[in-house]
Amino acid sequence: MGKKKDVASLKGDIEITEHTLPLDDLCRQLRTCPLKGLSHAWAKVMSEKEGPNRLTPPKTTPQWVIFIRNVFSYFGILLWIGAILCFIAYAIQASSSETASKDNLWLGLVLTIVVLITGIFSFYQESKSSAIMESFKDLVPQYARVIREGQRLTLKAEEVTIGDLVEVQLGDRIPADIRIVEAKSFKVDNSSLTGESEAQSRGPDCTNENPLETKNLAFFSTNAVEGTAKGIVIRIGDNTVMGRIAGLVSGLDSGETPIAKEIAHFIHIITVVAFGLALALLAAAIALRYHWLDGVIFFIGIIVAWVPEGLLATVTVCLTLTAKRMAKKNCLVKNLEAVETLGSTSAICSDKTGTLTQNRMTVSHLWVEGGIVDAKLNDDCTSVGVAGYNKRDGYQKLVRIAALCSTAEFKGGQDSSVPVMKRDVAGDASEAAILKFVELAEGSAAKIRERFPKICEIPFNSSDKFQLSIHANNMTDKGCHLLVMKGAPERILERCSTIMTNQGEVAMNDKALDAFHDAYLELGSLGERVLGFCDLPLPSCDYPIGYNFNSEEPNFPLTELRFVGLISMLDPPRPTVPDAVAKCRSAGVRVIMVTGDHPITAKAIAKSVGIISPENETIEDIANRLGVPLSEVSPESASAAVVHGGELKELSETELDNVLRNYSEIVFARTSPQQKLQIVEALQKQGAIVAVTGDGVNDSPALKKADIGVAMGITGSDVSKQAADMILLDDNFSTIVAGVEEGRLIFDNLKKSIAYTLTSKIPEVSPFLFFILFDIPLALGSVTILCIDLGTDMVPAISLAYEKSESDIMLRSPRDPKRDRLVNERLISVAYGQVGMIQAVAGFFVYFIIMAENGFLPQDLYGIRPRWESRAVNDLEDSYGQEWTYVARKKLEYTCHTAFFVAIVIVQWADVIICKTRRLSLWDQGMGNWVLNFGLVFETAVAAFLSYTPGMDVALRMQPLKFVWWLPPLPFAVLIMLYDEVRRWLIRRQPGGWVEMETYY
Amino acid sequence: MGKEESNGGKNYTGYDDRFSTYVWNSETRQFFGRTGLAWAKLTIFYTIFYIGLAAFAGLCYFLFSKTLTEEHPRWMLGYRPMPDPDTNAGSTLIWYTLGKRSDAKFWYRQLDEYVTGVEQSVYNSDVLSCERDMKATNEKSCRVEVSQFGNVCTKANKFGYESGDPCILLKLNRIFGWEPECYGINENGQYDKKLLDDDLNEAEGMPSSLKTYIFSNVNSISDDAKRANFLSTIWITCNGEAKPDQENLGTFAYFPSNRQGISGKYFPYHKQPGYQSPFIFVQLKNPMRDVLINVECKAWAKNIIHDRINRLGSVRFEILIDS
Repeated sequence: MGKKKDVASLKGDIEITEHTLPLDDLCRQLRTCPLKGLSHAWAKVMSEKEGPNRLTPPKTTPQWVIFIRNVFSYFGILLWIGAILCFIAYAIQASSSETASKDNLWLGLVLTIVVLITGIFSFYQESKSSAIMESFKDLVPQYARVIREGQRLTLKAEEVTIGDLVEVQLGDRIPADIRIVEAKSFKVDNSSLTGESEAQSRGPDCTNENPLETKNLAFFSTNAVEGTAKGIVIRIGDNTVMGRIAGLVSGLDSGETPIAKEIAHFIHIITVVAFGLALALLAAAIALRYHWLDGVIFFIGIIVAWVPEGLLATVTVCLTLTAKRMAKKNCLVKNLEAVETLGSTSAICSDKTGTLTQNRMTVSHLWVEGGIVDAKLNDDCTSVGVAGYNKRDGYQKLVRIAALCSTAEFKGGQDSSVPVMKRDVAGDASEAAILKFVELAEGSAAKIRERFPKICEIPFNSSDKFQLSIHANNMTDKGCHLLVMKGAPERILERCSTIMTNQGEVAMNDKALDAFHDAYLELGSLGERVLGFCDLPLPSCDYPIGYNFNSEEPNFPLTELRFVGLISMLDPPRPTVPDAVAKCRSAGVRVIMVTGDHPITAKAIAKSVGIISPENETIEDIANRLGVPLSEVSPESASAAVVHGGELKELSETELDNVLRNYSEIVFARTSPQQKLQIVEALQKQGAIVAVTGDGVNDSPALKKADIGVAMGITGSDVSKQAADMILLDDNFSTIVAGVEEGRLIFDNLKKSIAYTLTSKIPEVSPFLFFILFDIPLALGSVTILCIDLGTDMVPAISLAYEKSESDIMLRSPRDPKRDRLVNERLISVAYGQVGMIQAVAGFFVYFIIMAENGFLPQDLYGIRPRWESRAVNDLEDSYGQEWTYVARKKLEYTCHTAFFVAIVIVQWADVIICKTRRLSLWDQGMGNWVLNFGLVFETAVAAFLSYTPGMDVALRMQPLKFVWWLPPLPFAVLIMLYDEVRRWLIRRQPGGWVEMETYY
Repeated sequence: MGKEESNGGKNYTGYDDRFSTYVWNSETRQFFGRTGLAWAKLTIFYTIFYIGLAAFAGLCYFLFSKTLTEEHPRWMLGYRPMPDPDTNAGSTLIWYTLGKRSDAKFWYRQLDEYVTGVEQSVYNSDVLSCERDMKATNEKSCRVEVSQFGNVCTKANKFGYESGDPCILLKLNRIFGWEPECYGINENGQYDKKLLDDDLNEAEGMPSSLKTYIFSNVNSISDDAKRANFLSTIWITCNGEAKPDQENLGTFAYFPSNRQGISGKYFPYHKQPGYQSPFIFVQLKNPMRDVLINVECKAWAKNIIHDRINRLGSVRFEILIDS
């Protein structure tokens, strides 16, 4: 209980207020000092009070518990019960008679072996994954530099406590959650927390109520990528933002997979059937005046016979095969059962960055000389087309500024054969994008820089929001120095007095201003990041060569510049994503974007990949279109929505529920890890099966909670990979679609496989029933039953996993987990009630033929059992007056067992062929599944081997059969095929008709 | 997913999963998920389906049964015959207390009934009384004359049970068309001395007493035809199964006394009307009292193989006579 409570509290949003307090108050509260730090004494007190600064490892489940759990899972339990019942039955028989047959003992042992082997197999699969906390450990810094009583100390990160003054510099991991008191161009990489890959600057000022957005907090385990800072520790260990995520992940229960639920349901069904039948038999046995002990043995016998011994292995192998197939498609499945989950998925919560997009800022548009130009990468990514603008003066100037006003450089040591787009760049994402653009458009940025060597620069700062540099101009045009500047467009514009248009440089006028605003707005609404560019050739008379430019106190103009243009960038969607989203849509899978990014960017990407389809509008769109305020638009009229994390916080559970219900297309922006989790839970509560994709640590709670968590193989953090059930090796959203398809296919094929396997239970069990009810000699022994279940039936059952889909499975809705069961009563009805019955009749037909041909006509078999089974009766008379010794008639009986076994193999040919399709005609489905065709040959070969190999009569009591005894089941095999073809024809002819309602499984 | 769920309430799925509702849903009048009509339709379907299936199977069996003859089964699986003790009881132990009449009666009454049944076949005209060299044909069988067994193992004598020298009836299992290949008889049914020597030499495990018995009798017969008649026999020997058993047993007497075995004239069995299984009596003379004795009897002919584990060509029974 306690643990659950903890998790619930962790799910709440982080409550941090320390960043809003005045620094003095905070210091007083924590009894620290922003200069000297804690006193040693108080640090000790706090350390004892708060405990060490580390993540508490969760209670790990010991390996043996996991092993036991695997061995006793679902099917496992069923087989165990079967095995125990066998041993009980054997014990009863052995104690009552010396010559008891050991069949039950062997059966029990075989069941035990089967369950152990499959248990070990799945244990092996499972133990490869797990160990979530292990990956969190790597995030924790080892050492921290702390100032106590004015002394600089290097402590183990564990010893840091609340109130400590810590120092961090680039390359460090932040040792705890700290409030910045002093920073020098300090930047942190919060990507593991927020998913935003860009480094963020941090300073002493509180800029936002939200602790994740304010600039004066830095968080435990995030990286400092630039500058240095000092900060006061406000949270340590498990109470840190990261600690809470870790706690949440390890505390969350991911619940049963859909396939596990289906298997449990299936076992439920066959248990009910088995017990019902066994009870009926017990009653019948008592009515027939059997000894009660015999009745109990019969009861156990039926239940054991009903256990599909081979099915557990079949299902495991089918899932493994699919997992392998998915791995080939770059979809690595960690948990075998998760293979199917994607197929059942009805909603995908996808992260934006990296999954839907390429996680690579790219220049997408330019605005020069009053026109917006598409900067389209051509197909081979080796050059950029700008549609005829490249000769324009304005464009040339813009590119020149772009190349010069930048600190980004290609990292050394990279071969020129590496495509430009793939080269590593030192510098922030926007500058890298611009650098690559210049490189692609003009050939070489370095050449331009050579021509205009940099003389002086003012780096970007957040208050002025511009970046400036001054270059010597070797190619004299108006002066010998060129001043270039880039920054936030409106700030740049303020500093300009002229603007480049298609008529050349003109004075700033209203028309030009309007054009600028329109362009700025348009690019902004595309979710793109826009930068403005301007320059000014400095007249050589005022600024001669050798002029001493001073960047601290600018002795050059910062206004009256020439506005040249805008460059806008975005992280473009992956090219295959729109197609994949469309496929999801046609497959009835909702795609919901959940991102930490800004709403506008998120929405733009959502629109461009089709998560918000072109015909759908959000409330804001409608308001915009109609020109009315937001409040006047009724929420019902919109079918798409962009929900901000801030709004989400205000929503109650029911309101969130309504949002998820009422809007078909939703983008959640600016969401926190907890909110992501909240969305997943809300969807699950509605009955949806939810897939979540993510790459950051922040995504891991949602990944864990989701029915299937999908982590990114390339960009994904270790934590996210550990929390996930599946890893996309190529980080590509469209791979998920392939996964959905495979998942759906395996669900269908498992149905077929189970239908096939269950069918032969009827011919296997009916001999035992007839043995008891009609006192005829046993027609099929338990050894032969095992030969079918664990021998001949295995390969065909597994081969059904290779069956191709009947129709386009990506055009139908995901299955309703409440109604579309893996095994339903229709499947049972067809398998047990119809096909199984035909098979049983086929088996008995052969049995009676062999008995009759050897002298025992059917009418004389009735009631013969007590004499047949008595070892003392050595002159049992048959219908022709012959007398049979015990051994002789047993040999005949075993011949019948073998023939019955062969008959089942033959009618199972027909069964596996009809199980290939559930709706289509076999004619349309074809026999192209060569694994299945091999299975047909294989099971026949096994049957022949078992029957004809010398020594089998001793080992398995199999007798060699006359060739003609292979023939009697054939008419029944044909009957099965015809019957099922007609059944499927009726299903197709009358959709929704009675035949479909009662027999379509 | 209907509208009603969005009005709140915990039941998001809109289903009632309770088992009781599944058994009987009063709203939809469904019993186990189906209405009465649906159940009726399903029942009719299955009735028709099973009738059709039964008809199909019946037709198949009918066609098959046309290929069977009434006279004989199709296959002879080649199982070997073996002698059979006289009892049908659940075990192979013959156990009684000497002097306790009811005890002994349980055993000899069974023999009594069997022998009486054989005696009555005299009145069956379908059965030949095979004298001299006559032999059963495919149509007619030979009568088993009870008189040949002499006056020891008889009803009047209570088959020796009351005197403690019990008689055991041994017969061969009827196997369709089976005929013995007897020692010393060639393909033409003629006596062949060399063949007899070879046959008996090759007869693995045959007690020397039987060999001596055969040789001395053959030598005492003057006529080859009579020799052939004598040799045309499935020989029977009995002995204790192990050494102690042999010590505890007395001697054996075989009846008919002129032939320690079953004459070949009764074979083959061809389901002739009124066919009687031939048999022989073995009397255990004064076996040790109060000791359980394992007795094994074997039948001997060239085409009888012996296998103690599978009890081929032999029979095993126990006898225990309490004093």
